[in-house]
Amino acid sequence: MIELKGLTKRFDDFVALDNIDLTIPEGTAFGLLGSNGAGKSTILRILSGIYKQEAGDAHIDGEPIFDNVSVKEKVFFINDETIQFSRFTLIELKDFYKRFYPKFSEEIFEKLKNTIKLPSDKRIDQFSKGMKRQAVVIIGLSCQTDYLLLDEAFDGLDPTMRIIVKRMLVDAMLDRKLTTIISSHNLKEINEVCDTVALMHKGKIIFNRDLDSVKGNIHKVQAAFAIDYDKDAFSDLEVLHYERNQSLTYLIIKGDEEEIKSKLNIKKPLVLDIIPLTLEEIFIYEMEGLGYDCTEIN
Amino acid sequence: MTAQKLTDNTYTNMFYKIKSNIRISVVALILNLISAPVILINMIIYLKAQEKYNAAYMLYTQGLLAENALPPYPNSPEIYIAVGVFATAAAVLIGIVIAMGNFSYLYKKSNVDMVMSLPLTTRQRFTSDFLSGAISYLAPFLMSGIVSMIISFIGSIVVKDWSEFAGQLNGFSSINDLVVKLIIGGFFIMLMVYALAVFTISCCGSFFEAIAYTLGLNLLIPGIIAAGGYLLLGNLYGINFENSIIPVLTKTSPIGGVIGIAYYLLDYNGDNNFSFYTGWLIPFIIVTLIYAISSWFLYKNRKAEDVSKPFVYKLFYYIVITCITFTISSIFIFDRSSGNIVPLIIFSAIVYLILEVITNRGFKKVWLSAIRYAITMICVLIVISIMDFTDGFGMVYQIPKASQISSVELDYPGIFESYESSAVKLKEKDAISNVISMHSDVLDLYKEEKKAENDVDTPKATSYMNKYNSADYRATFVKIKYNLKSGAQLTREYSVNSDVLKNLSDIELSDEYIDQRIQSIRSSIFKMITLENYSEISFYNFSEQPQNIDFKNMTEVEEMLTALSTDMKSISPEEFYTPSKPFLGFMGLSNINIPINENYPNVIKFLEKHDINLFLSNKFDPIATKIISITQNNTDEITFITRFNKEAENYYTETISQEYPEIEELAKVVQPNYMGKIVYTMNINGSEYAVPEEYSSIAESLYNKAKGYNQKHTEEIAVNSYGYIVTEDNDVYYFNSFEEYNNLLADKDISSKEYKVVIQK
Repeated sequence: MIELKGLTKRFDDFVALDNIDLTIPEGTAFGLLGSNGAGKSTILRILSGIYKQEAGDAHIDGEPIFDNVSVKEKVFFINDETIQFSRFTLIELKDFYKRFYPKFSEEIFEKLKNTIKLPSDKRIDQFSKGMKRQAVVIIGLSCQTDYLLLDEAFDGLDPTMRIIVKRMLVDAMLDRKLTTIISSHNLKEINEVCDTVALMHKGKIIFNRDLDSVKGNIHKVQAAFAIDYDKDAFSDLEVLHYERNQSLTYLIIKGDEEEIKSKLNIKKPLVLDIIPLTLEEIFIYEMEGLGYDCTEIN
Repeated sequence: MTAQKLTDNTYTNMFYKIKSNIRISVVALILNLISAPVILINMIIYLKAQEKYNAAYMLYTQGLLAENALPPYPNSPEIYIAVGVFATAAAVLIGIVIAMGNFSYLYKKSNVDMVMSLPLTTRQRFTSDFLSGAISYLAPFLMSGIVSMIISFIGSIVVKDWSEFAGQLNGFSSINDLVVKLIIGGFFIMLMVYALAVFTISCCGSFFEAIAYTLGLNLLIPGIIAAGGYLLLGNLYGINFENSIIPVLTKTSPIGGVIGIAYYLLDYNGDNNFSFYTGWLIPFIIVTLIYAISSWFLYKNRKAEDVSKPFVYKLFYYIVITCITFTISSIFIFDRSSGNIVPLIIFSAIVYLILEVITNRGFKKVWLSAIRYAITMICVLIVISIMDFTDGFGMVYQIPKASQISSVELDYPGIFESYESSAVKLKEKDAISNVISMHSDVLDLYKEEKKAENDVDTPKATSYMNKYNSADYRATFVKIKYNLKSGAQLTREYSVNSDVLKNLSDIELSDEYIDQRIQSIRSSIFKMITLENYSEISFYNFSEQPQNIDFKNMTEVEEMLTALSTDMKSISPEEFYTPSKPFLGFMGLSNINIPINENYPNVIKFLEKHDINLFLSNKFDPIATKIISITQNNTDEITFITRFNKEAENYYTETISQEYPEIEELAKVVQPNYMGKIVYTMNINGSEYAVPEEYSSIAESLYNKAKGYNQKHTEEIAVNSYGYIVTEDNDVYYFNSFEEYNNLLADKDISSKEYKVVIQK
């Protein structure tokens, strides 16, 4: 289990993480969403033992992470850089990591390598971006760590490869209760892989819930009213977004669906449709509510 | 199959890093093999060829070999030495390359995550990266060292003159000894290169700063110490730059280490007390360890996110930039001329601001840089001014207490300059007190002169060195080295005058002093006998050709030294400083010149046993005894004959160009060593001799006669104003004025010979 309590991280004067509390149970596929600079990569680096927090605790399985070999052996971090592995061939990379991770599996490595068909004796800097990514994911999965952290890990992968990698992750999660934390801007993939998501903005966690309850908590309403109601007319509801187009009114409302319906029915809508939102739409509207939107760009 | 976990990830990382450095280690090995081993091989070839040539040439000179049968003269191996030196330099620089590679995650952002997320603690990571780099760097050097030792050993077998070649390098009896010391010294110098590189990289966060300051610091450290030290300490009275700065310079940087080894090789002549191991190597290793340990503390406190900042520890940058400003200031105000302040400020400001712009990656907040510069400059000038005003924070006036001193080494030629400068080590309390007393007198004189001085524009070095020896420009150079009970040493050098030197008069008659002077003579003769199979001692005075005694072995030498030692220890202070017995002659070696009289009965017996005819000295030879001048001293000061200052005021010299009966009388009673009231001296064959006070009337008579003649002669010269001087060698010197005439006679080449003055009307 991953536990973050009161976690604060600063880079000089900039507060990257502001008093974060987060618990990620074992076996969770956890998605980290957020605006650019929200602190997602910072969390992952603290969990990998790369950064040390200024305040608060960061524990994995009850032990502090930083400078702790026994904890770090349980964590594998795949970041968004590909340059760092350039000196190695795939086999050399395997041999390098095999030394450090006690549970490294040659069998899994061979199986994954043969599935993806990457060249064994070619230097990784001669691979394409996607091939580099594939190589690192293979190594990460072969290390058989309890925790796998992926920062924009799907970037550069073709659609087929994305499916393969996702399947590998899911298989691993099912086989050995792998806990995965994925930070990505590709919300479709988060939607497909993760069961829990947290949204971050400016170093704080906006929400941390399982995906179903996230989706169940925010709704898109398309309604038509006999009277043209403005936004203030819906002040009894938590409206994230209000838009009117001729006779139709579009609302993004947070809350229970039945409650929303009953409150809107009071206004006797001529048409009332509640449409489910995608995760991307949820992200955009939540951010808009926090003032992080594109309305200023004309 | 699941991998087996290794017991310690440190070794895992270390072996991996060594393996990944294999290629550069091979390059290092090749460079190291091109350096010393190739030089040694070529030296062997050269010396062997030279042996062959010399043997053939010997036969040729004996007429046993035709000229066209002579082998060609061997080419000097200088080109190989040059290549070897370059290869060595390149091999040394590889240490920086390896350090940059092993610690790349400290300045290259793309490497941070991969390295820092590995299951290693900070300590494990540092240890494995540091050690693996050191091994990759130094193992090739050691291999090359072993090869060099083998080649050197082969050289000592096949080359007859291999040891002599070593002997030419100042006293090494074995070239293998030299090679071993060079390997040990080279090893630790390279280790320091590496440790300093890691230290600098730990302070920096970007590639440019890491490489620039790593290279730069290797030049900056010795440069700042040498320039700053020389320019500031070099101005301080009594403080010799070499003694003060060289010990620091040679132990604090790799370039300094190279200077240290060269210093050791050049100075080491068997008589020098400088020890390779305790004097240089051990302190050098300690400083290297300081760099390595400091690197660890800097590394430990770094954060992964610090990469890409120019400097992780800005303090390091400010220390460097302040030192640079300090050194520039020292250069500009070396001569303490106020006219240099404006150029100093302009130049140092430019350098400072350029560094700031580079570090800040642009001109942002340049006004802050200007403020920092101003503060730095003010601080530097204040420090330099305080250093000047307080004479090096009181360093000039530092004299240890007698209770703190275990021994003192005095390097000076003796009160009568009987010995070439060599050090005597004094442990007796009285001797130490006398030295302290002398030292105090020197500094008292300095303080008085400093108060009186109003010539602010005169460069300090010139004025103090020349001026603070009172009216006596024939000063004696004395070097004092206090060995303190704490293990520290304090060294000072002065040119001292007679008054000050008198403090040492008791020392010169002590057994401790005499024994060491005798030992110095013994070593000198032993060295000559060892290297050249013979030595000789000469006996001469101003009226004879030298008579020599050849020594083939040390038994006769010991006999002589025992006689000399016994006599020197028996002589009374009165007879030593104001001898009444007639001067018989000098006993001279290459490094001593002791006047012998009847106070040395054992020496006389020894000389007579070796057929040295002392009584010839009593026969006066007017031709050989060339009395050149007589000087009258109209002051009352007590002085030494060897410091007798004919150039000073109240000293009047008259040249003697005629025969007078007083000359023979005085020639028999003058003394080469004398400390007392010297009213008259005579210059005989170019050396000054004191006329004992009881013979002053004879000297006065001679002086007046010479004066009278010269005055008459001078009037003639003054009236006629031109003529010429012809010497016994028929060299002709023309003069057209009285001044030119006087200048000619002041020339020893003329005045030491028979000459005739011809005045042309």
